Amino acid sequence: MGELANRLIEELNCETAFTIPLFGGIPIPESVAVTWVIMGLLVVLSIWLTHDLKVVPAGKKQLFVETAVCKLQDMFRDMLGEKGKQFVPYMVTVILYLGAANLIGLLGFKPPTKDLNVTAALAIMSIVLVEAAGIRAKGVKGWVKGFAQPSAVVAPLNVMEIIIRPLSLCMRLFGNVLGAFVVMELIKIMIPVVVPVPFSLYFDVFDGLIQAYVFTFLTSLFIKEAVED
Amino acid sequence: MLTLNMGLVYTVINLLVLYILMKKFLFKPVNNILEQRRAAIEEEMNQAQTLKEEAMQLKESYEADTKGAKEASAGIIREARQKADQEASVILSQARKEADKIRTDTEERLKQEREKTMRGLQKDVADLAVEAAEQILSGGSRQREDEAFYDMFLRNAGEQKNAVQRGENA
Repeated sequence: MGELANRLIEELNCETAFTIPLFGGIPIPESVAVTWVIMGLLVVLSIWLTHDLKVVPAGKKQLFVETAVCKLQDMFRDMLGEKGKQFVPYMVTVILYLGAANLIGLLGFKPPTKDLNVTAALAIMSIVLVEAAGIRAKGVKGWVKGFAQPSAVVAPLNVMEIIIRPLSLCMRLFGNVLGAFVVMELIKIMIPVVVPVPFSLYFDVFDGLIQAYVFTFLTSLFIKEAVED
Repeated sequence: MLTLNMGLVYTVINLLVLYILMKKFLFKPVNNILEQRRAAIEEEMNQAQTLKEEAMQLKESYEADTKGAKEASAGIIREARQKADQEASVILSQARKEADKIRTDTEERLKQEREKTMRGLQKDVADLAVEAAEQILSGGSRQREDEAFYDMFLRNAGEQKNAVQRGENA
């Protein structure tokens, strides 16, 4: 068992992938390197899917990309409401990134979402977006007043939410991906043949996509709450 | 393992860059093509609408034309019938008038004839009376001559009467 614990810790460690030899060396964590890979994949895929779109749809490729983009956009438009619809492209980008990040473990990469830095960065961006959207929609005064809604008594709780919300977003994503990873490692060590397949489908594919959805769904909900009253 | 480091900042930068790239390479082309399609469809729909309206206008004008033609033909027939009726009634009244005239003329002529006959008869009767009177005055065997005279008178008068009756029957 001691060996298993060591292996898990080793797997969980965020290694430095490489170091850019500039300014005395900039260490690049593995999660960032994998993120670059994901970005490259998404961009190449986008260019390939959209390079010959036609007004009259020709081929399954265009049908696929149109359906996918439309469905995602409609989903977030519904979640964000009319006032928050300028955030739709960002939310779609995040769900695509998270989906890819949670699934890239299947290709043998270490999922970036297993690195707390990545989920924290996502959560911080989410809360900045939420508060910025609130300030933009209501003005600074309205935004400050919003903390005393519905009653002044809950104002401390509302202020705490600025911290709690991103923290819960960050930890939920990190914890789920980490948990799924640990469970999968355990299963693979115990029974390495056949059995891991259905579990992998659940933990790596299903759970990964669900977490991507949950993260963006909650962020959208917060934004909607911030811009509407 | 649970430490925050520069990776956080890199990730933020990565996400912002990815956002811009996705906007440029995914959302813009797809939404562009959707917008173009929407515009094309709208244009087609508008065209179809105008065509439809034009067709409806043409149909209406044709219908109006047909209706006008029908009305005109009905009017012509009505007019012709009216004219025919008028002519018929004119002819009829003329014929009636002529018939009346013929009848009155005939009646008049018959009346005149009758009167003429009557006058002739009266004159004959008077002549006979005068003749008889002359014979009486001129004398002769009284008894027999008287009888012969009566007979002659009665015969003559009977003939006259028959003649009058015939004249009336005619």
